[in-house]
Amino acid sequence: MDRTSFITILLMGLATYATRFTGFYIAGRINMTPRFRYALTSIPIAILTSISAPMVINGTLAEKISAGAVILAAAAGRGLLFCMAVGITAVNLLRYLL
Amino acid sequence: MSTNIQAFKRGFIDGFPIALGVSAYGAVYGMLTRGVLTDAETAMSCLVVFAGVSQIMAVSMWLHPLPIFAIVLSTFIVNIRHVLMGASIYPYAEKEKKWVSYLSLYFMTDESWAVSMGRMGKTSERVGYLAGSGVVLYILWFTASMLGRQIGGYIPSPEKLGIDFALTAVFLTMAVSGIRGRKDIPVILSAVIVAWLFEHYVGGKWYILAGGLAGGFTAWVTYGQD
Repeated sequence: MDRTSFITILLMGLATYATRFTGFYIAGRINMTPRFRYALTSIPIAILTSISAPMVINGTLAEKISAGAVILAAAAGRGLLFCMAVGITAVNLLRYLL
Repeated sequence: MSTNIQAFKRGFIDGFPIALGVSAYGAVYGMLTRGVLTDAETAMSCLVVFAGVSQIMAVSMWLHPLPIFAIVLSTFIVNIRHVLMGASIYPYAEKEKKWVSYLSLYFMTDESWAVSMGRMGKTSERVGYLAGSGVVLYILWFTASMLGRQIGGYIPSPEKLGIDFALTAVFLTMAVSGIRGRKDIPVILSAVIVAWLFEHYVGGKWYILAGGLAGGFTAWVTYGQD
């Protein structure tokens, strides 16, 4: 590997690790009022819905129906493996049928 | 209270099926590197960068003389959403030894963060879980990428097996099972609207950061109103 490639990948790695630890570091410096802590613990649900929503909105009909099935399974309290299985089965079946 | 080693093992096991899904994309990445990166460069990217979207983006920009600044800056921008994910880990890792947390964060991906949040929100899980679910992804990502490089064209696309949707299912399941009650409705609504707007009009991965911030801000505003 030439030196430029090595340095580029190394810098990419540093840039990525910086994104991974910076938020954690900053959160530890901030004075945690109950209100701030509440906002911080609400961020996961916000990120998870932000990742999911466009996937479902832009999805095909088969993907939208499968998403509905996964949501129902998760709302019924089923575990992650079960919900993944529901999703994969539904999407394969519906992509074949629709 | 369990040890971080036990938490690591639990994370590793829980992360395995998700890592299998992610490895389908690792194989695709490996295929894309053929003729562009060397074996060593591909291996180093997987082990040092370990971030799918930015690795694939770098392949598309990999023309000598390398535009180093553009590649590194794009990498940073694509991964900036991790800042928010890292911050959301903090309340659950406050009492952990700092080096354990910072080491665990090295392996944090969207997927391992998602399962870890699901677990940490419900039980008093330790930060080793984040490391375990990250490391199993790390191993499979590396292995699948190197394999994809070797056997290239024989690999079926993730869409053909419905694996693309398996990862959608992971995020959907974690979102639904993470709902704490009625008070989350404004948080979810604001996140969905802002994420959709950003995805539609801004592009890239900005919608994840924007939706996350919008939801956090909504929670900050609505605090104590339930």
